[in-house]
Amino acid sequence: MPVSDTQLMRLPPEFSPEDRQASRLLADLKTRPSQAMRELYGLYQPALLGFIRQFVHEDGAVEEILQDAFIRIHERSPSYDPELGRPFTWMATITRRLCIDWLRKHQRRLHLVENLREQPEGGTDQIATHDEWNAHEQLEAQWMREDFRQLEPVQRRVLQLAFYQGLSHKEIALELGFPLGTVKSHLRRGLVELRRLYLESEDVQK
Amino acid sequence: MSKSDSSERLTLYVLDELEGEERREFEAELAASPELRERFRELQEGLYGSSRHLAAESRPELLDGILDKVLVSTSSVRHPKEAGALVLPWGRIMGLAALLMLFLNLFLLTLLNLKGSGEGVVAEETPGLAESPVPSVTESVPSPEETALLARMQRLSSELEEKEARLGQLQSIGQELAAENERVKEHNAAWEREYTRLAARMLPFFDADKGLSRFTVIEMMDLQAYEQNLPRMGFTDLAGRFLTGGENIAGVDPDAFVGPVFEGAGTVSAEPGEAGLNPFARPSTGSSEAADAAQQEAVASGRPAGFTVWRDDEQKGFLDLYNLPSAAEGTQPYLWVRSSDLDPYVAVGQLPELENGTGSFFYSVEEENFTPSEILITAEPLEQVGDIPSGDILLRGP
Repeated sequence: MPVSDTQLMRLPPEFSPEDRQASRLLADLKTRPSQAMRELYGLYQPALLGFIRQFVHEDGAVEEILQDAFIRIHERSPSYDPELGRPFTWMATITRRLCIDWLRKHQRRLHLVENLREQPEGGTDQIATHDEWNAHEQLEAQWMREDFRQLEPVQRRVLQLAFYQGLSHKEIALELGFPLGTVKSHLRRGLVELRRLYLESEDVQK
Repeated sequence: MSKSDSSERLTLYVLDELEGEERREFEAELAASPELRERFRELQEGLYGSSRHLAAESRPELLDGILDKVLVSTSSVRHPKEAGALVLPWGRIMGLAALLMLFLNLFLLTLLNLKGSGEGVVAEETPGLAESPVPSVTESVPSPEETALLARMQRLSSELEEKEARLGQLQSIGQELAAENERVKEHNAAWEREYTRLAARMLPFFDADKGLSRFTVIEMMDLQAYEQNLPRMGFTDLAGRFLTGGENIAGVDPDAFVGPVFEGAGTVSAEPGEAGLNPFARPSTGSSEAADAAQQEAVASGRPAGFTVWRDDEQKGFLDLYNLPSAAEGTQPYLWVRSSDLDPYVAVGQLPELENGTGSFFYSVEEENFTPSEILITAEPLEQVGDIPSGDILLRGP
């Protein structure tokens, strides 16, 4: 549902002043695209740039994705629904999809070390230690969010593959040699744990 | 639909992995279930929310490319009627061009006929004319380059409008600031004149060699202003700063400082960081215009006010009054001071004649080691002044 003026008047109460401003700018993109885009860009460009760098580390590609993201945000702004999340979250989902597309296109998926598949059953909680990461993964770790670091290793690995590499559940199961149900279970728990960590960090900031 | 199934699809949806029909079905569920929306929002915030704080550097130079593309897409999807004045009506233009060419052909044909060469000759000599293609209206779709150019023009025009509006706002603010600046200038000039006048009156009060020891400044106001708690005119602050020379007058270059203008008076000079008053003799400029102007202005303001500076070492006071109201018939303005509210008022004496209630003079009391903390001017009966103030209060301080 597009953000109508009426909706803007009753945005979710937990929305911060920044969220409210951004919701209004998203609504304004159709009527005054130039000015609204300038303001939206000023508000979120640094954050989205940092977000993209979690996925892609080549400067040229990062810039390209950033520009595409704002263009896509403009195109899709009528579909933004405040009831389904904050403006930044919505923009980040669009940006993530572009990152995943770029990674797929350039075949930059992170392949886990082959020997992970050879791990004995039941040893899944120990498989994802830093020592076992290859050079690419260590580079990835530089950009890893603090809340991801706090996840259990197996949840972190599964969520990394799903979120940062865009692998499907089946692909993750194949990649890690886990049963499909185990992958789903780890993903669900990982998401719930991320939510808990996020709420804690928000409380600390308040 | 089981709860675990719903959770699984929610996880997939949050990770943007739900496709096609499954996605549409889930979005329909999402729209119908506030609880599901709430769970979705929570998981999504957990996944993306912390990235809001991963701020990288600012890259303003990338914005222009985005704006160009945004406006190209805006112009290409908007209906011409909505696209504004800068989107040209290509169909009409090309149609008009086709008509013009047709008329041109007919005109040339007619011209050749008039030359009498016959139809066959015309056809032979101008083989192209008979087959001259007339551009079709359907060929009037602008090329991508034209669309991009138009979008850029539209963006520039839009930005120009925004900048013009901003310029208008800035000009308006500038005018307000200029007017405010003028008011401040006038205010400063008034105070500068007052300062000059104050210096002229006060300097004879102080010994050029000894400087100033302990002194007291008390500001006075009329009873109505006192009871209504109106703001004071700031004489205490002014006189205090003037006398200590910490700011204001001390910052004035002695050569640039004009005044005081009273015969025999001096000007004020204080070395930076040096406390106290250090007057030195300066020849009179021979003019009292500045002092007269300041006095006239003080009189014109109309509000009764005044202040006193009491010098402990000399046991003398300087009293400066503005617009003192006239005492009622049969009464006289009378000055009283006391050292604390526990002590009785000391009768100082009847005030001298003041022009328009404005002027200054010195006074003293017959008590030793006296320092006033309160000062009063009352309208006392002529020839019948008692030991305590009994008439109407004209001015009081503090």
